[in-house]
Parts: sequence; C-alpha cells; structure tokens
Amino acid sequence: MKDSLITVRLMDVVSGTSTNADGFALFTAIDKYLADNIKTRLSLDGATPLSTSFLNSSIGSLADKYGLEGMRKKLVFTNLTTPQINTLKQYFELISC
Amino acid sequence: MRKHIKLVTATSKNHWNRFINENLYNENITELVVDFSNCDFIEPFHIVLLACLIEDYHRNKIPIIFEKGYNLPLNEYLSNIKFWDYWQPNFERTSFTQNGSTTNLCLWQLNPAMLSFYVVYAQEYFENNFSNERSFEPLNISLAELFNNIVDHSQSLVSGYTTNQFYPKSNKLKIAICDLGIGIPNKINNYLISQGNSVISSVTALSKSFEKGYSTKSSPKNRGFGLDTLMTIAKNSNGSLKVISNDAMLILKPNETIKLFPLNYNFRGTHFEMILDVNTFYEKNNEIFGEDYSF
Repeated sequence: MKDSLITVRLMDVVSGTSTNADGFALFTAIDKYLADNIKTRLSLDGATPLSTSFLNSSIGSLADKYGLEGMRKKLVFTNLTTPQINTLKQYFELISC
Repeated sequence: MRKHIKLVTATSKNHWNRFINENLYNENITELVVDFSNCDFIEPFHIVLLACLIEDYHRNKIPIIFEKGYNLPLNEYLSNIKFWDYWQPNFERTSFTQNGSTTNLCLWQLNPAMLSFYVVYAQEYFENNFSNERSFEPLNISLAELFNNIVDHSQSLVSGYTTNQFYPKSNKLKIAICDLGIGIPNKINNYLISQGNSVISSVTALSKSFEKGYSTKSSPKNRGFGLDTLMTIAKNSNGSLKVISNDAMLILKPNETIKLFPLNYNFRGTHFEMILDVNTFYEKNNEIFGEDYSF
C-alpha cells in the first residue's frame, strides 16, 4: 500500500446516488486509485440517500473486485451522517453474508 | 373502432386492475375515450394504473379523448397533477413539472435519465411543504428502489408511472407506481426455467421476490436487496404495502404479517401502493462525523 491518501468527494463524481449508472460512476472514480494501491477516503459530504442499486454498482462491485477485506483496507469513509453510517453498516453486513 | 372506457368510482382496487387489464390496447382500436362522468373519486393507486393504460394506447399513436365529469374537485385534482395534459402533443414528458398543489406531486412517467433527480426533488418537495423537522429520506429510497425495480426487471414497453400524495391530517404519504411489464412472478419463473428449475406458484414467486438476497440477476450487479429494503421501510414506517403482479397479490398492513393471495385474473405488469406514516420518519440531524470509518 502506498503511503499517500486521496480524498474523493462523492457528490463531485456522481450526478446522483440512486441508479446503477450513478454507482458505476463512483466505481470508476475510486477503482483507479485502489487499482494503483492508493488508500482512498470517500467523503459523503452533501450526499443524497444511497439506494441499493447505487451501492451494488459502486461499493458492491469494488468488493467483488478486491474482496471485502481488500476493499476495507484500501477504502474508508468520512463526513458521514448517522443515517449514512447506518446505511453503509447494513450494506456491508448484507454483502458479507 | 372507437374504444369508450367508462370509469366508475372505485369500490374495490382489485376491480380496477382487472378492468384496466381487460381494456388494454388492441390493434382494432383507432381512438380511445376515457370517460370520467361516473367517477367521483380517484386515488394515486388508480391514477398510475390508468396512466399506464392510456400510455399503452398513446405509444401506438391512438388519439386520446377525455370526457370530464361534473365533480369539480376531482377535475381540479387531476388538473393539478397534469393528468389532462400528459398526453397532449406539446407536453414536456421527459422532465417533471411543478404541481398546482402542495400535497401531491405531478404524474410522472419514469425516465431513467431523470430518476436520481426525481427522487431528490420528491424528498425536498414534501420536506419543504410539510416538515422542516423530519427527513423524507424513506420516500427517496422507496421511490429509488421501486424505479430501479422497473428499470432492471420489468421489460415494460410502457415505462412506469408514478404519483405521490401527502395527507396532512393523518400525516401519511401515499406512493403509487405501476408498469405493464413482464410481472414479478413471470420474471422469477422465467429465471427458474433458465436455471433448469421447476416453476413455482405466482404467490410463492411474489413472496420470494421480497426475500433478502434473492435475485433473478437481470443485471450482473443485482443482489436482491431492493424489495427487501422496500419492505423494511414499510415495516419501520408503520406503513402498508400492496403489490399486484400477474395473478398474485401481496398485502402488508401496519402491525400485521404479510399476506399473499392468488388472483383470478392475470394482471399484465406490476402495481405498487405504499403508505408511510411520516410520524415515524427520523428527525433531521445535520451532525456530520468527520473521522474515518471502515465498515
């Protein structure tokens, strides 16, 4: 893992957080860093609610590519509200089953 | 041939699904008349169903004629949600429009390109009109899950229709959405056949669609979380959910278990009605946690 840490603001790389297309845009934005072994911090500052389709095509796809543990080592989240913490917690529980 | 559809005030919602089913487009019809003269009451549930029926004719280039009744509040209600305008030649159908009323959103034909904007707009619309304290995020997520269900699975030639209404006295929010696609039971049974499995009853298939993690994998990214999320929101919101799809119906009422019923007709598509109690929506909390989280 490289020492550098890059911060990606979600709402700067997607036009919404509801669709598979939105999720794929986030996947693409983060994947380039993870593929280069750069630890990435995803900021949810100002983010709209996250649908399951959005999460499947972004976080779920990253988990498919890097493995759940591999992704956890490389990707952290910040600037979260309580509902966002709950949503992400539930989603990670679902995909870890 | 001129098709004259005379609507009657709804006594049974199932009756409407059957009625709409029996009056879908066929190639012998050259003009559609939708007659409201005997209809005094209509809800979002009926509106989206009727909109799908009309769209079925409209996409086949059949002229639509409305015969309005004498119930002025009903006429005004339909006017406010742009129902009378929706199939006019110059109506802007790709976007969504402002409503003439604060309690409901205009009729909207699902447009995948506008989906993310619509769900945010719907959330902000009701928050701004009725609650600065509670978050309408459950509406946003419910609409997104319902829309994505249509986009990913329905194969509907008639893109889904939705309208939503808030009832200030009871503080309840009603969401209605309908498509004329393949239907959930048919979709699941097609998937089972493709996997070399036996078909299951429509009631069982409809029930299965709400199981967490069950997916027909219409797209590789599907994981079967969408309808489970919808059901969780309905339960957590002291809400109700009604789903009619093919020849099966699912009903959830507040504080009751899910009930499933076979129908004696085969509805071509999927029709959702969801009622949420806004009193259960969490209070807005703008606190943001700036530390790093790993899940």
